[in-house]
Amino acid sequence: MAGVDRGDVTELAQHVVFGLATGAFLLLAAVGFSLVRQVEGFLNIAHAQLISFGAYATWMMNVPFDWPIVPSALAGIALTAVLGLAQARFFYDPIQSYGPDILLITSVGVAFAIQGLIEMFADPGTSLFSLANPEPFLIGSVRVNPYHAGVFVAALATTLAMYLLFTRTRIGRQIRAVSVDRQLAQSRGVALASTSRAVWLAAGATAGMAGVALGLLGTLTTDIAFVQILLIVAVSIFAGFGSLLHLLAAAFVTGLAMDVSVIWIPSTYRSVVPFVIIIVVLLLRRQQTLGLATA
Amino acid sequence: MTVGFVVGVVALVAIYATLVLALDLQFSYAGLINLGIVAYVAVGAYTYAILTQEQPGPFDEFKYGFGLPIPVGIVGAAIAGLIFGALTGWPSLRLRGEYVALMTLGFAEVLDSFLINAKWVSNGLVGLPSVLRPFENLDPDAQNWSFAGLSVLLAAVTFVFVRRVVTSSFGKRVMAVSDDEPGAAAIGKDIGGTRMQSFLLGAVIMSVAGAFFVMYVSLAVPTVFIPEVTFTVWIALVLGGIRSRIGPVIGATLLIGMQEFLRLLSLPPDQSAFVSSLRLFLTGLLLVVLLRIRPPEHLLGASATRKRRWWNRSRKETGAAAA
Repeated sequence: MAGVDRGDVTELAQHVVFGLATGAFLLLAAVGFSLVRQVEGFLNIAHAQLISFGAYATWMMNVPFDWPIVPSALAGIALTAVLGLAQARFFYDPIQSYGPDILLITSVGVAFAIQGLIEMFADPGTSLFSLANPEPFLIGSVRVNPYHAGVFVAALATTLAMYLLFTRTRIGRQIRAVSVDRQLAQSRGVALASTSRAVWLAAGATAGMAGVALGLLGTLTTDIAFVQILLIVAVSIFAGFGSLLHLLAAAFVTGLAMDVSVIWIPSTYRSVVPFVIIIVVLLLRRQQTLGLATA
Repeated sequence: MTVGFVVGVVALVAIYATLVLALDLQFSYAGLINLGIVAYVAVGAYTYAILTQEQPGPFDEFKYGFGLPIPVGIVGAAIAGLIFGALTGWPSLRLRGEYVALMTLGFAEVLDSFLINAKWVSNGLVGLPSVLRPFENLDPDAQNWSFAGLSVLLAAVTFVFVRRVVTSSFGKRVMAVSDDEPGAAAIGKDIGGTRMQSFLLGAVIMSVAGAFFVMYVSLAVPTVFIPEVTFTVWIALVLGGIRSRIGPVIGATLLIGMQEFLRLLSLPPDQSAFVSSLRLFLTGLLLVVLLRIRPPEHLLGASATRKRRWWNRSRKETGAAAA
């Protein structure tokens, strides 16, 4: 093609690689949010603070306690899973009967509480994991950061694990039954307490992984959660709170759109891109969105 | 504690009371969950600042300043609120319940991003520094008193206006659409129009309050218009009580009064950062606890609502008699 030189193609490929890493992060970030929406029936705004908590819990082990990154990350993920379960037990379960709107507003309060907790212990400036300097490897002429590649592989592996959980295990099938019809599942002998526990642990653990990914892909700041919630919502609406496969596609399309768009628009507007995607999606297929189906 | 401090608190309480009244209209009566309140406040604030400030000098990054009088600035803020409300309401209100919440939250984020980046309008993170305040020819004390008086007047006018609206036939329609949408549609009420009108009324009030807010802080800068403003309004509403006459005013007085008096504790800087995180933590828990002990009844699950309504009760009794 006239006017396109090799440099342009390499630049584009480079942004595609960044986009795949962003997409992998978005997948980890949105999968728990979407799962809670489908099984527990409300939008948990505090999910973003769980991600932020996971990032800072890992940072806490990694930097002040000086643990290597792998055990720090595992500890961070485990702590976030426990926090995910704890917030449900203390804050959401007692008001389950109040309906999704009150649960949503309550989760805003929970988000504030966790945010306050993080800010009490985290560094007010920017924080970084202590990592060995990455040695980028080349695919063709495109440089790939091994940490980015790690996030990508971890996200795909987690999605595969979730897929196997939902299709091959008893608890996974029970969770799907509850998400389709809570009362019918209960009357057929599904213990809601155990499916709820599994859902919150899974949501917390994936949020923790997203937090670790956030720290591996860039720097951490304490206000990071308020930006993330928008991305998470965008990806989940884009996927229509559908299957894992929808979520996978939505996460990577959004990630690619965000990182490839910086070639043409100022990168400060990068986080607005997913929101533009939501508006377009909502306007194009408003009949299929859940918001209208339940009206 | 000085008198000047109290006067400042009175002004801020009045401005927040106005915002809570606007949210009361949108949420308590029309059932619309607006999580982007701060965006409507910011639109009013920036419009007021730009309309009233002097023409920028050659070294300023922002391009507009019209030097108009204060009343024009306030009317401009109202019009900007109407336009921004229409632009954001149109896609948001095509959705229901929780999705309205997400859309408004998203629009607030987009506006924040715009205000940080569009330096030709907002001067970015530096902000618009010389916001015109009313009564500038008076001495500082008299100016603060007069401004507090003007803010209380705004809250009082808003209070009377909201009462008028919710007791009018329009208000009855708003509640009918919110409480029983299929029922209201069945008797021929315009669902979309009613939702949009109540949303726009709230948005305009919020933008006018935004003009007062920016007079109060006297600097239009994105770091003032943060999500905490939105959630403070929410907590004040839940604290004062949903669909209660004077609740929004009581909630704003208690919450803002308490927050401002906590500021009086003079603390060394390292502890003040800790105290601000603690405040965030406690504010969040307060919202959670308040919602649990006094949930807004009209939003409870379908079974709880049904018990409350006379027409459902009578239907249930008829059913029982037939059986």
